[in-house]
Amino acid sequence: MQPVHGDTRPCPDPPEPESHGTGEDLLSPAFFRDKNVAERTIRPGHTWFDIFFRLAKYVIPIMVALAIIDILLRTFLPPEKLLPYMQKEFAFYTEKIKQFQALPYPDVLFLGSSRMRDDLDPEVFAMGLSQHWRHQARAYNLGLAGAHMEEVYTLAASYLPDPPPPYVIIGFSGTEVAWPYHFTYASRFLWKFENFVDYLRRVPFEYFYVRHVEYYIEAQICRFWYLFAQRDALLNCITENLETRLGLDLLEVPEEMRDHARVMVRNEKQRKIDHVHADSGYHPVLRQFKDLAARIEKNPEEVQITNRREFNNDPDVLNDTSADMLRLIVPTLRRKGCKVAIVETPTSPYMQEMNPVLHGEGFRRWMKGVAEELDVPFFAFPPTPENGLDNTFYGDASHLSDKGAKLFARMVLKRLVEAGFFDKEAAR
Amino acid sequence: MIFSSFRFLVFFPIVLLLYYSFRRLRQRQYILLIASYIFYASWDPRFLSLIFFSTLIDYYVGLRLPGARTQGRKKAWLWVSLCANLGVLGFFKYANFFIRSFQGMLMLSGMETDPVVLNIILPVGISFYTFQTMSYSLDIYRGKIEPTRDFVEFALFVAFFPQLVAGPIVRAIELLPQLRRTVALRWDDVAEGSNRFIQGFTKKVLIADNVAPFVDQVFQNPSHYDGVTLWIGSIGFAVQVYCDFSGYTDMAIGSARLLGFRLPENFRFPFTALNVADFWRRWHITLYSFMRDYLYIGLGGSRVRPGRLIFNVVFTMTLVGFWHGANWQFLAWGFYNGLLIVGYRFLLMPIHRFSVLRRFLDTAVGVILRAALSNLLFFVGLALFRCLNISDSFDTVGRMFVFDSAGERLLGGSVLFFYGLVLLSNIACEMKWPSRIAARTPLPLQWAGYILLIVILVLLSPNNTQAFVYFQF
Repeated sequence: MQPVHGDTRPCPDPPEPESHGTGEDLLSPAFFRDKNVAERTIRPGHTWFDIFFRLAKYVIPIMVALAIIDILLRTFLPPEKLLPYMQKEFAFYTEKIKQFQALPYPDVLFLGSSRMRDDLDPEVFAMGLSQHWRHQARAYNLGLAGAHMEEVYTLAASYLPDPPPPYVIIGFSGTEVAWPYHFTYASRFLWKFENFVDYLRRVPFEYFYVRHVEYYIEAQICRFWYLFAQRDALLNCITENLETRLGLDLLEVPEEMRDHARVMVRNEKQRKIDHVHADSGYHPVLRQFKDLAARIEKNPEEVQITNRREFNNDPDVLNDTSADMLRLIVPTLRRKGCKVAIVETPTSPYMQEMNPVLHGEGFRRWMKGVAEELDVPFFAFPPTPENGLDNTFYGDASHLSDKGAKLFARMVLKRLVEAGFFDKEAAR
Repeated sequence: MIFSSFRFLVFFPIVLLLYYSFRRLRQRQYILLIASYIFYASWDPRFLSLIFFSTLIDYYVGLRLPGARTQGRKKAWLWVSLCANLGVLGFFKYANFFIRSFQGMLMLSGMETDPVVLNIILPVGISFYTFQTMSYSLDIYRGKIEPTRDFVEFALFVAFFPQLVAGPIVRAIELLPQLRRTVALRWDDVAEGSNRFIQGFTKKVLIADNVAPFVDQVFQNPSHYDGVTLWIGSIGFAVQVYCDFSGYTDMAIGSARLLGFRLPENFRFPFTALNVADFWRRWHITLYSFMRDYLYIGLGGSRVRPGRLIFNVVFTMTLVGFWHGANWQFLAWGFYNGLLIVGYRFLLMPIHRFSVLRRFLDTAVGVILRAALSNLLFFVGLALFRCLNISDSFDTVGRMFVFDSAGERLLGGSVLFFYGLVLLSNIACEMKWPSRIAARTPLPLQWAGYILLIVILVLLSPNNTQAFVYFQF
């Protein structure tokens, strides 16, 4: 008999599961099935109130205890203490930005990715502009690892101090402007509610990724749940202390790698502390090799480019969707009263030869067109014998070394001054 | 959308809320069906058509089977179902394997062929739902169940999301009656369902995902490591696959329970198995019982001559291995398990006839030795299973028995720790300690336990949740 839909009469008893043989059977059944699959009677239910009331008996005390743990952690292990143990992106996107907002506002602000972060020494700018303006000038490099246009736009829209810096220099290469909606960190670390709503409003349907909504929600949980937000740093801190104090080998690094791993960990920690605490936002990177040229000479195989997108030389990767993002960034900064310039943060000649569309002439041509449309100065820096930006000035395939950052900063400053970009003295 | 993902933790409460907000059976069936299709489409919406195809075929076959006038016609309808389901499974899962094997044979016979590999994506969960729909037609054919005339109900039986992509393989006889009733929201369902879900979540993110990197490292290049490391790698894989798959099952059973449904168990503390036959009554129970009921019994079961019995067992277990995927390692693993069961039956079971030995085997030492042997044989099998190709599998198993073999040694302290933890929990559950302890634990201690669990989960969960191992099967 087929039950009528919505019927609440008892179901017929289910047949007993088939049984073949006994324990002597080689594949004898030991079927671990619940025989009450179709219950004989429909048991009375509980109301939502009953359920919540009973759940509350567990949930409320646990929430209270977790809140107390959170307060203790925030008190005894604040972010400043955990800085060495944080993942680098977490440290830069949260602590460096916090540091930037706490410092006196700069006259010149650099925005961009790690290429901007490593390529421009702001001290060179500060000194040059102090001479140019005849008073003390301040420059800050807010280049952030993995920043794309979305991150730059969010910083411009929601993180500039009030009053904002009068001069903003944005550093881009092809990687940061291609695939404008394939960003990584804005939704995880930067978006405020208005940025999130703005993203939902403007993102084309085909570029909408649910993961950004998830990241945003996770970031909101992180705002009030410190244990969850700092889980990696806390775990690293516990692990390292157990290793050093109890001599445990929790990370199981092979013996021959141990010294190397220690140096790497120490350098990484120092790098985070230096970058976050630097008054100019810039600190030279401790590198294993002298420069890229030396590295190529030693073993070209070791020069690895991990981001597969860097190999994409499809001419259409730089298109109108990317231009649309720039059409948002530049007016946003202008509305706040900032004077904007875009500079190319050049990758090494090694990389430009590898992909001229994304890193060479293709990018420069495209960016020049968009800059002209937006009436914003664009300064390209192709590797020529005159400017001398060869592989010896690069720490790796994508980033300038300390020596390169000084040379490049002087080149950029010279070009900007010659173009009259800084002619009107910064309002102070 | 995997159970341990943030996406599911948002999706499921919405489904739960909607489900209990409606009282009529039909409305609830629609909610669950739509939710199930959304759940499946979150991997690849294109493959919804496959589920739909499988559903339509077996629904129609189910309707036609009882009305078939002759046995021949009945058989013909059954073959329609088997061919459609096994055809879909064969194409998506095994086509490339057969093509490659055929090409290999041609090359061995000296014929040159151009390598052909079809660009086929394996639809997630295909091995589970095709078996489920086949069992429906087979059970109707055997007269064990009446077909359902309600298409929505049948579609929901096939696509019911808690067990859709990685089992347990549920038979119509178990699930269809439950789909025909409306259940009220009940505290015991909420409490037991949540507890079960948390258990599974913990197994997956705390143990399986933390052991996985070590296992991947070892089996990526097993020839680089010495015998001890290979043993630890194999133990690690046992822990990973158990916590991963039984964790998934726990989450499936837990989420189904929260909706008022009962699903069959798939694991019963396999590390406490005392022999290989016992092990298979505790490991992936629904697959094992499916193969037993529809294949092994069909071949004649154990009431046949010894030669035929050996064939039945080895053939069934080899197909259990082959079900996991199209490669020689899985076949070898299934064959190995078949041989172990036969070996146990013909070599070890006769020992039980000697009363002195039987008494010894029943002592604590005897039980420990039997369980240890069962575990060791399982680890050896998993080394066959986990390697990336068959030559690596044989080489790895060979090197596991050479303790001073050359190669790097990794001690995998965390792997051994987690193995100890899993073993202890299996023993405790087998002895039914947890339920006894839970009944006596005062509330504040329960709170402390949950708080500790939350803190450990937050700290030790890897940031990138790995997909469940059994999704690839």
